[in-house]
Amino acid sequence: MKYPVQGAGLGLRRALMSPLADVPEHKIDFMEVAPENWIGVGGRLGKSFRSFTEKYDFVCHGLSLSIGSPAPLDEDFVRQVKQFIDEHGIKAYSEHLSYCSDQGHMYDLMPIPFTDQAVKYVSERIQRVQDIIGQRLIIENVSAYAEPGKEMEEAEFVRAVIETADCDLLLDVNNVYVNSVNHGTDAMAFIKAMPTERIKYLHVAGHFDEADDLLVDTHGMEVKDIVWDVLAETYKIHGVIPTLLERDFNFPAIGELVTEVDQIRSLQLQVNAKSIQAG
Amino acid sequence: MAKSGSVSAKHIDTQRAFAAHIRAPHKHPIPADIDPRRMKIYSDLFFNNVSGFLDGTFPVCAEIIGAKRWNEIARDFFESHFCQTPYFLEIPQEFLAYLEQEFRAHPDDPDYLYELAHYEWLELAIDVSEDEVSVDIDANADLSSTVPRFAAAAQGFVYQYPVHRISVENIHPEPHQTALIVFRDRQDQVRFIETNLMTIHLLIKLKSAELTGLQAVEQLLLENDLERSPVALQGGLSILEEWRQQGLILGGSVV
Repeated sequence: MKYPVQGAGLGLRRALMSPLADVPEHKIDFMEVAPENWIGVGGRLGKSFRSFTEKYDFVCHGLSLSIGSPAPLDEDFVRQVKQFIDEHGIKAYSEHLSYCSDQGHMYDLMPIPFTDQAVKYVSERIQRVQDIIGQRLIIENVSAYAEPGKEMEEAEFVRAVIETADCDLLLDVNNVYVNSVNHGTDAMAFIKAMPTERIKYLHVAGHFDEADDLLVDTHGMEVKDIVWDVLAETYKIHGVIPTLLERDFNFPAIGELVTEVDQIRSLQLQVNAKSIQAG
Repeated sequence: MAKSGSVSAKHIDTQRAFAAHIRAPHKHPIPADIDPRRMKIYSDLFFNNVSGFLDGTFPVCAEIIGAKRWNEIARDFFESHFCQTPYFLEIPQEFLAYLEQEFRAHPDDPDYLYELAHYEWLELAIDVSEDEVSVDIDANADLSSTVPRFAAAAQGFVYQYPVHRISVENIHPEPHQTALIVFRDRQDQVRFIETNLMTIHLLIKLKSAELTGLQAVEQLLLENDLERSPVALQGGLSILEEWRQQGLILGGSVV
């Protein structure tokens, strides 16, 4: 199948579990969780999570793989993710093209230097992960506030990793926009440079305006208009692709999140309708 | 040809320096090509994320020790302890390991800090424990002649301080051996029972072997050089009944 999931999705967070119980199932086409928040979790939370994976299509969106880390790849962990994916019938595994550890875990994302050596290093590790999980890893372009040791453009780096590792892409359009402001680059040029056939789904989220030249990818507020525009343009360039809304804190009433998911869906319908007219 | 993936690659050194500054902004320089304002976004985001996990799990420790000192400890944890778990809910466990391994107490820090942290962590650990009760249980079984079955995640702990009574209103408790049993009840709520060392041994005995209630009580009396009198046996069995009332014992099953 072209895409592992369909339509418009929402990232599942603990704080959303009880509000989501009242939302009709058809309002959300798929969900996403960090396996690091759910592996080994039983009790009331584990049961609640199980009730969601039984109802909805799921994608795993990892946080701790640390694919670019100086430390050795934690293969036991990858096997645990694989087991989790099998146990819950999860459709795909995506991770950030970044690193989050030195000698130990640091639990947030740091930028990998865009160099040829880093492309090789990361790609070999992605291939090892793919060997273990028995499917392609979907890597995500990350937001960054700095570009240490940069020797090529980010778009070039992401493309090179996808080609070398033979992996797929989760294109986060909010991250593209955030980086275009933070590093003075062209968001649409980045999006155009991504290989259509490797894009498996998209992310959209809200960010925080720290300064005119500095946006922080907080996932703590509604999606900005400019990012909706980037999403619509992305559909025009690469086709209508399953898209998920991320919201990590500062949660509004669940109805507002469902409205944003609806907005994804109506953008998808608009672009589809236009392409039918044009075709 | 250079082996790819070699740790001597330049980008790896760049990454190490970048991470080192985030961990300890005052001990490691800002990487040369990076705007300090942007580096501060990273160091703040990372530290606030980790300290958020500590605040959420150890609210009593944080309150008792005070915001300033708690922040110092959280900072030292992030700087000096290399967490090995990829799992976010296990960060508090890493903090306990830090308190045992790297932490250097100030003279003003309470002696019971580790024990209190352990007690606070237990609530989380039992809440999410994967332990489930799966065997067939007769809720009304005679606990003397059947094997008593415990609620999920039932465990006993002995502390040197009454950790369950420590609060900002009770900052200086006298040391006092405190035995607590923790478990998850049928409604998946975490519950604690205050008890004594002897009954913790009874719990451990029943959980580690397929013994009837009577067999376990008899063994316990024997091991403690106590007479196997009807009163002593009845005393032991009445503890099991009490545990059933409290939801710690769910019932019994025939071996």
